[in-house]
Amino acid sequence: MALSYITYRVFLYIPTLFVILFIVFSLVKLLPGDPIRVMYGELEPPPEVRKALEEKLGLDKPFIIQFLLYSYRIFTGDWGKSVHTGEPVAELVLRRFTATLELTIVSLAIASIIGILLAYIAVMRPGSFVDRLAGLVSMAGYSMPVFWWGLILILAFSVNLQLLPPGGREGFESLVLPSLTLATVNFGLICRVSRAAMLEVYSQDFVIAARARGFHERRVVIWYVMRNAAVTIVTLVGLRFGILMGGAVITETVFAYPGVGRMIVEGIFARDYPVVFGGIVFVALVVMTINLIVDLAYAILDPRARVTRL
Amino acid sequence: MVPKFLISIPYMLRALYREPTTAIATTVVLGIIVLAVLADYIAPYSYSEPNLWKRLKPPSWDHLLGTDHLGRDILSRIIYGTRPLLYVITVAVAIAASTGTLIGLLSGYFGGRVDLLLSRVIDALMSFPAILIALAIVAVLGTGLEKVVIAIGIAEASVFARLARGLMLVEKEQLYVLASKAVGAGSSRIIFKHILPNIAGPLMVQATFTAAAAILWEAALSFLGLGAQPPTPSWGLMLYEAKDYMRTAPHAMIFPGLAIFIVVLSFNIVGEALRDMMDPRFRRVMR
Repeated sequence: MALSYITYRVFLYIPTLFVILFIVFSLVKLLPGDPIRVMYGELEPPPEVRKALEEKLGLDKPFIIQFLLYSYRIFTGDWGKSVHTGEPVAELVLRRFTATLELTIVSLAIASIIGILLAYIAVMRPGSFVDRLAGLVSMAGYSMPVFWWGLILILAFSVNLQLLPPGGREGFESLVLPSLTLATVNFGLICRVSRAAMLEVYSQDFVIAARARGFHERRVVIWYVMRNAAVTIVTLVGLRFGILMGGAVITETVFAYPGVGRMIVEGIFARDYPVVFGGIVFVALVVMTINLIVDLAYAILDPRARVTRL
Repeated sequence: MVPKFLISIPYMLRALYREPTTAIATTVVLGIIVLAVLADYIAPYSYSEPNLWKRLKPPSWDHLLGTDHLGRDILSRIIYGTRPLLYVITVAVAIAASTGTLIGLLSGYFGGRVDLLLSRVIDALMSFPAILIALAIVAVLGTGLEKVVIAIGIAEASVFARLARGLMLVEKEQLYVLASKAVGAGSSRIIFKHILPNIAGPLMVQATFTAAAAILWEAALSFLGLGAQPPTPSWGLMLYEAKDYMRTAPHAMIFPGLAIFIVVLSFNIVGEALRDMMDPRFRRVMR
């Protein structure tokens, strides 16, 4: 059973992967401008040169063949070169992504601590004033315009207090403000997911039994409710990894943080399309793969999921 | 036939005004429409007329929220900013809701191979962070408010597709669907005339959340310099212009951002309240 679910999920992953590549490839094809004219310095090359170039780039082949060639290049690591620096896109993306990953993980840690703590407080008294306040605070978190909140933090901690650098990536200090900014928009999500998962466990018999044994409410929540909800919380947060990455793109731009998101935005301004679409494909692949891993891990840890999620 | 949710609007409004938090949020949401329509009468100054003698003035009685780098009144620009805001909300939500719902309905209703294919497309689109789809589309279409709105609409469509598919899977098992099949109604009639009105409620709730998301994304893209172009009083663009003067005139940056925050929060609060009012059997299908 477990095996059949895993094969099923992996088999779904492959077509989805191709759909992603297809979408990106179609967008690249829709880009304004003729690639050969761009290579020839915006001039019309002689017909024989044009023909030779078209053959070399595979532009004379049918759309679907071009797409397969593109997919082949993506899988073999040939992601093209940056139009401006000539650096291979695959290397550039990997280097930039390390920075993004660092930011995402640190901010996710902060967001999880705040989010789960807030959910814990809310679940202790469901429906109370505290619960509703926690709900409102987390909603305020994800209603926050990331870029604005980032600027406010820069204003407070870099301009006025001069405690932390306003941007860049030099040492631990430069990571504090970006990760706090990103954590602010993400803790709300984690708080709601945790609260919902904990409430689901809350009404089960073994929790009532634990309470009947006279355990303190705090102990009931931490030892019985939280531990049982943990797998669900991790899964639901993992499945929303894409949303977390989306916030990182903007945060990086505000703090001039050299991650993959800022690379994409700069690429759009510089019309460096190999870099733009290389970055986009990479992030999409990462998000998809993480979703798959989380899903599989959940199916292995909690056998009930295999049936209900099919 | 008038859909159920239209009849219930007065009831919904009364319920929204029962609690202080939702009452304030509803007022903000409705207030945007009023401000957009009456901006010419309410705004104390023009949104585009520069006044270089009054550049970057802090808040005062003449200019309640101060002036920006061209001496324009920030309050007036925020008031006029409800117009591009309303444009972004309506167009982006309309694109997202119509394309997404259509894909979801077809996928859910027909099942089988259609579903398998369309579900992969939905999955693929959901793997992209919405901002990346929007950036990719902007890279192709070019910058500007209209293009950004299309990009957001497409980026948010997958949410509607997934929701509509889930609702359809539940709804198509209902007896009335069987009854309409029995009297010989065609697929399109069953989907759009019978099922769609019955699942419109949750889709409307999702539209409220999508409106909140659309405001945030438009502001973000305009903040990156990819969206609205000057002198449009887009709040995101105002932030973009003000960030260079952050040290000397922080007010020019603080107020437009505050406006975005309050409006997005209000949309989310209203959406949440509407969702709680909905038939509980839909609550499970929604996030």
